[in-house]
Amino acid sequence: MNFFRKVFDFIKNPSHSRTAAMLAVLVIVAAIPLSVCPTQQQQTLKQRAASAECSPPYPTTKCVANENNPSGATCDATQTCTENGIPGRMCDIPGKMGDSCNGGAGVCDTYGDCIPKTPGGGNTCNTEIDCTEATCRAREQNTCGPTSGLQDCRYIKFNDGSKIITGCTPAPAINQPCYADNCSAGYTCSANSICVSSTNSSPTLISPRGNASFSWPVTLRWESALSQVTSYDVYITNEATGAEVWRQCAITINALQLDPANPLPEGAYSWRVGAYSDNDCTQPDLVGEYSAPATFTIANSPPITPNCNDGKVCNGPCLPNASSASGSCSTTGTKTCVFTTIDGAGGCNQVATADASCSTADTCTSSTKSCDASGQCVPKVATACKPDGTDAATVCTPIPACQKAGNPACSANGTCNYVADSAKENTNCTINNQSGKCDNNGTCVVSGGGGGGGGGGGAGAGTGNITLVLALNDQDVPASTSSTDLSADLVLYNLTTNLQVAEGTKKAQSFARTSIPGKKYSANIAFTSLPQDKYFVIVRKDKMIAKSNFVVSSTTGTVSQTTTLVFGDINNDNDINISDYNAFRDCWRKSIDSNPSCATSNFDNNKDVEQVDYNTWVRGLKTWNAEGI
Amino acid sequence: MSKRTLFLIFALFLITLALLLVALYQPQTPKTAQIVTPTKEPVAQTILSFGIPVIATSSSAVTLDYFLPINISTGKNNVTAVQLELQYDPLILTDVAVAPGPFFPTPEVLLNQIDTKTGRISYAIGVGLTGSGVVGKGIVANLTFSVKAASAPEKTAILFLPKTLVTAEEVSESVRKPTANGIFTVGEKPSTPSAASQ
Repeated sequence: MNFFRKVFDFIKNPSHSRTAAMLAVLVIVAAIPLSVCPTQQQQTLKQRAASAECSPPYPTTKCVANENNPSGATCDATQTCTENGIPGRMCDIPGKMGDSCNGGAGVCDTYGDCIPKTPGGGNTCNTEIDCTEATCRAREQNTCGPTSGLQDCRYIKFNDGSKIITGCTPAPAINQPCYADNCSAGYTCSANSICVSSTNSSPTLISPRGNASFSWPVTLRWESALSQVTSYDVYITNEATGAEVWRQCAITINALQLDPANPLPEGAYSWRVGAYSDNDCTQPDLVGEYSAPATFTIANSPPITPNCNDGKVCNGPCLPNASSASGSCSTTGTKTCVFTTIDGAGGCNQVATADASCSTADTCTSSTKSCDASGQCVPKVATACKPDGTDAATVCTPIPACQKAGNPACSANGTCNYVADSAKENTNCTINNQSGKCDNNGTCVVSGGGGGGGGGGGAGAGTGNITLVLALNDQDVPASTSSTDLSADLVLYNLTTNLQVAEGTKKAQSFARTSIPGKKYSANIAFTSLPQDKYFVIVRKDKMIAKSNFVVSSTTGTVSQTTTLVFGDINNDNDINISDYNAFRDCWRKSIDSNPSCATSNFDNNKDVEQVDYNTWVRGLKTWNAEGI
Repeated sequence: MSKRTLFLIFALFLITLALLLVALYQPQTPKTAQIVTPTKEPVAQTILSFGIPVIATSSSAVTLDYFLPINISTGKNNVTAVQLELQYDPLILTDVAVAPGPFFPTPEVLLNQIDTKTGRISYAIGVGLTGSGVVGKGIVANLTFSVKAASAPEKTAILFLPKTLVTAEEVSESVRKPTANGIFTVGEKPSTPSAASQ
């Protein structure tokens, strides 16, 4: 009570209480931090929010896997991030980390604070070239302009697309892609965005080079930083004999495809290019020097077009007086094969000369002419081909092989392999001895009953029931499915929209093993009440997939198809394309023991993703694409 | 000074100290209030386009041989592979072939199938299994074809089909931005063949 009386006395008469005066001083001392500190803190927050130079951490941000997170950060199964033991710190945080701040003098750190740049390292690429984080970013955005010596940015990319600049890649060297003039010293970026020698001495050979192997026809490409060049002289030398086998002068472009019709024999070659200031390729006009030779190999050259004159047979290499397999080109006497295309066996496939007169229909050597009543070889009358496509009496529109009667070798997906043509719609076609009509997409649609389960009725207007008689082969067979019947999953898609169709999709389908060559497994698959449209079905057996398309154009029908199960759909999107290649690259030479997600790339199940798997994938891609949709 | 006064001073000092600690204490979490949503860049930044067809010097009196570069501009994508699915008119263009361009330093051709009946080109090229993704601009492939020299000039189109894809490092889907198809006039010789060299 004495204390309160003294306070009261102090208020009433401040000069009379020393204790109360002390109390007042202490209250004032306490009030200062209580008011100043919160005000300062509030001010700091306001400044940070206003500048937005550096973003703070995002504790609530979800992370995605553990990829691309900064060192020390992990992402758990609930997509919660932990950095250095502190939950909710960094993973997958978009924003400003690594960005310049404070007018380029600083860089945003992992906590969203702007810290000074570390000279000579950390935030700079190296000490030799002035390629700071800021210039890297400017370079990356292609806004800093052509400043010699700048390098491309190297960065860590986050799952949301944001990136952190971590340094610079080496400047591109000779033959590497470039832009502006970011090539290494001594090189300059050519008009075709390739680093070429900047010394004014010789053209630079781009391709082929390094003894790379090519199929015919080979395309030569070169670049030049030489000035006052009007044309080039290019020549090819046989490496084995040293003989010059091809040469062309006065070339005014930087790339040249060699004539496909005149292939060079398979073997090793080298080529050189010289630049000239005019078009006559004479030595005084040579600009600089000829390039150093670049080597290449022709590994796959088409057979030389056979010379079928002089009574030789032109089906295959021109063997004198031998019988051709087909007989169509076996000629004697005055007949001459004129071949416009080379058939699969390397021989010619057409006989034609301009006969003026004839005695019988057989004496006109041209397959497009026949002998008329007056003894003249006249063009045959164009008519429609017979269903078997072998009409010898008239000229007819060639019929695709798959449309010929009795020919089971229709393309595997049942299409007729010609460009969609409404004029050919309703043309008779046959697949696997079943008659049908071509639709306007070149697909042979077998109509009518037959084949299991088409006549069940129940299809409403605009819908149809169809039985897909699907034969399966397999390209690279895992042991487990090699000898027994096969069970696979089916997914049905609309071919027009490329969207999955719920109706009619079979979750599982059993394929019976057959003894028919080229049809290892077979199943009759009934789809009911499908809207009349085009469809394709994906057959999936473990890591293998196959596809088959068909059309529903009537209330009932049967379509027979043969397709191939292949490996290659690594990303499980029911397609095989370069997206799978991209995924395969990530697993190359990795063990699935330490990288379980790479199991889809391990086709031979040996636990390592290596060359066998890659070869299998390439085979799968080619087969998949060849069977088309 | 009395003991009571000293006690009072000491008590007030403790109170002041406690108040100071309260004022200076700064929890770690309030920064969440400053979340700034960053502007997301589109992942697909790669553009494929046709260059200008030029007549190769190997052209003869019978045919005109053309050379058509297919250009790529990757933006910020580290491109690892390109799959070209092209459609052309087989009645106009013949002897069609595709070869790697200089864009990939060590190109690996994954697929090269040309159906001359349907006019469908399927061509895939990548950086190789151990190659790094490529950023920049350049020619990813060269398309060559022939037309009859005697034919009148006519327009023809080469289409990028929807299955044309571009893949890049660290991106699972295609990074290709849709672009216009190519419409060309073929069958006429240019008056200045040197234009081909750009």
